[in-house]
Amino acid sequence: MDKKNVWQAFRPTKRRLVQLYAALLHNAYLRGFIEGKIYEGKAKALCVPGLNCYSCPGAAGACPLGSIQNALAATGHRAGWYVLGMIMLFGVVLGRTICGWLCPMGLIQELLHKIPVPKIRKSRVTRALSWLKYGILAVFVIAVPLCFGLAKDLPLPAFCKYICPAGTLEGAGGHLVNPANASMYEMLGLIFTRKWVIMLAVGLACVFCYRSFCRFLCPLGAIYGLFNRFSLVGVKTDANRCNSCGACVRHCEMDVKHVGDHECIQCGKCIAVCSQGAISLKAGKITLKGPETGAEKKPAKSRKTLFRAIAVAVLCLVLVWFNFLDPSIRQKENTPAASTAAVGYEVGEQLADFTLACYDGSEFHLADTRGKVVFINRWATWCTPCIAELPYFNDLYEAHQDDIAMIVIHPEMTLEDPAEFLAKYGYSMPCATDGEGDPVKEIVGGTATLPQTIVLNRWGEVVYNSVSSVTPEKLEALYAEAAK
Amino acid sequence: MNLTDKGKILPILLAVCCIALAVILAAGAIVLYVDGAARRAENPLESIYTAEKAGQVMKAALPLFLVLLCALVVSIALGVKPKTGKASKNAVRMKPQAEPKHVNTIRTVVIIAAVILIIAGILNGGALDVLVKAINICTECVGLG
Repeated sequence: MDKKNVWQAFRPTKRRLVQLYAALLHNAYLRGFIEGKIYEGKAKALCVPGLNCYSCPGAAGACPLGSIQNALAATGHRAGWYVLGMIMLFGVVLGRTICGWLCPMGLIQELLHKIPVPKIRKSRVTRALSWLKYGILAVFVIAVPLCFGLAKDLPLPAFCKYICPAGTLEGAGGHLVNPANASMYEMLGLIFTRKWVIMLAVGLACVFCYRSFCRFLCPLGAIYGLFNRFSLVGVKTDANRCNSCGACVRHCEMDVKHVGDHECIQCGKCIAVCSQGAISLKAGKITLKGPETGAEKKPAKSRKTLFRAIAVAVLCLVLVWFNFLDPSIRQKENTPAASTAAVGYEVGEQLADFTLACYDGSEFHLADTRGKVVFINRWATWCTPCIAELPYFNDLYEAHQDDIAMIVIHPEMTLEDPAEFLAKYGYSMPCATDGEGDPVKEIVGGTATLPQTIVLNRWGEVVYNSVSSVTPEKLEALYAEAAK
Repeated sequence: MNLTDKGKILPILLAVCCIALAVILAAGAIVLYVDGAARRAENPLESIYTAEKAGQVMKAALPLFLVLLCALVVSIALGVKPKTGKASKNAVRMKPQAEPKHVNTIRTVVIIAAVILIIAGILNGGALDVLVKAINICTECVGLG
């Protein structure tokens, strides 16, 4: 095959270009991939339409699926109207056009499916499997977070924790490949192993079977599918022209029964195969992609060029904004890191001094702890592993109260009342909220990742500083090492 | 069997490579976990995974990955395209699904309801809640542990 034919056979379609464009917009914080950190600007309060893990270093917005699980888990405190409204808005305007045109996970699945291996055809089995995602939606996205949130006040985003391959690929993978995050390997265990295997299985399935994750597992697609029939943008059939030949459904690789039903991702591939020209992709009354009959007027070249120029300009603007101009990021960058340059937070260094007011009215002053082993734990009410390990810290504190100084610190930005939260458990260890702008987080070299534990020996030197969960055995071992 | 015969060998080779690569990566992770968990049982301060050991698994998978990549390049050069998973000819023959009645009314009502919910959510702190969760990483939630 000569060069021209290879290009003709593999050149990206308009939809592929839109998918790439949307993937870039979803992950506009490109600096995150280089620095190994996530975007912490205020724009992240906005949900993105596609499935894109908000712990991905490049993520510029919040994942709607992660957000809805957290909102359901927090139902006891406040109703999750915001996320529900966002998802409804996306659904009614775009429906599953999001899956077909905008979702970064959709793009990854389609690229994997490009590998020319023998393919699994759609069949009754795949149609039956396509109902699985509704079960996953009901159990992992709604029931488990809601039950754990209401019954135990424990945030448990079950889909993210047990299944989501986007979280493993973008969230975990995005951080682990960066040498700056080498310490994150310490926290990997059973959860990572399980999710890694699930991600590989899903990836492999996508090579052989078109959009396997999207068709069988994705709860976000299941939600958007419910809006498909009345979404503003979508593939519509002209009943007067349709002769019911079924070519559209035969050609489609999704498990659709009708064009535009809940399984249809509105990709518009069926438009070209309809001999009657009955199918078109519409936004209300505007035809975005119609049958190429030759009779219809094509948009003027100048209009096309203008549209492309605007799209490129928007992308450039978004990239420059998120990476260089966002004031909320610049403000954080200009915050002086730990005012004492001679000290640090690595093993062997001494932490800069700090004072925090504890919930019980006492004061924790780091300089006053010399001669004791110091345990500092950073936690949050919304962090499940943090809450799970708090009793271990309390037990350790009670067992060695005379020889240990301990402080459990919650980040400043929160809507919950950490003191009220902890009061339910009756912990005796000192607990406090970090000061304005989280100065202690800076002092201990903290990031957006929780939980973090820092252990100092009797001379105030750091002997352990890690972002990972601990066990009672590990805490005892750390105490023994620091107390030497 | 001819390689240019729209590929019979290449797709099978690619399929085998994909499966083998996934198996090696999955098995590597399981072996690392089992080994690391045993070490941690003896010493609670031991890490289950380390960057070096993960690197070793990746190195073991690298030759296969390169073979997969080469086979992919060859298949592109030869014009081997993936066969799609379309249904057979007698799969369907049906009337188009009618658009629901009053579709515009439903759409308008849902859009208005969504906007009201978003405003109510901003007022009750829901948006700030989303921000707090999005700018912090819950390690367990993304599968880190």
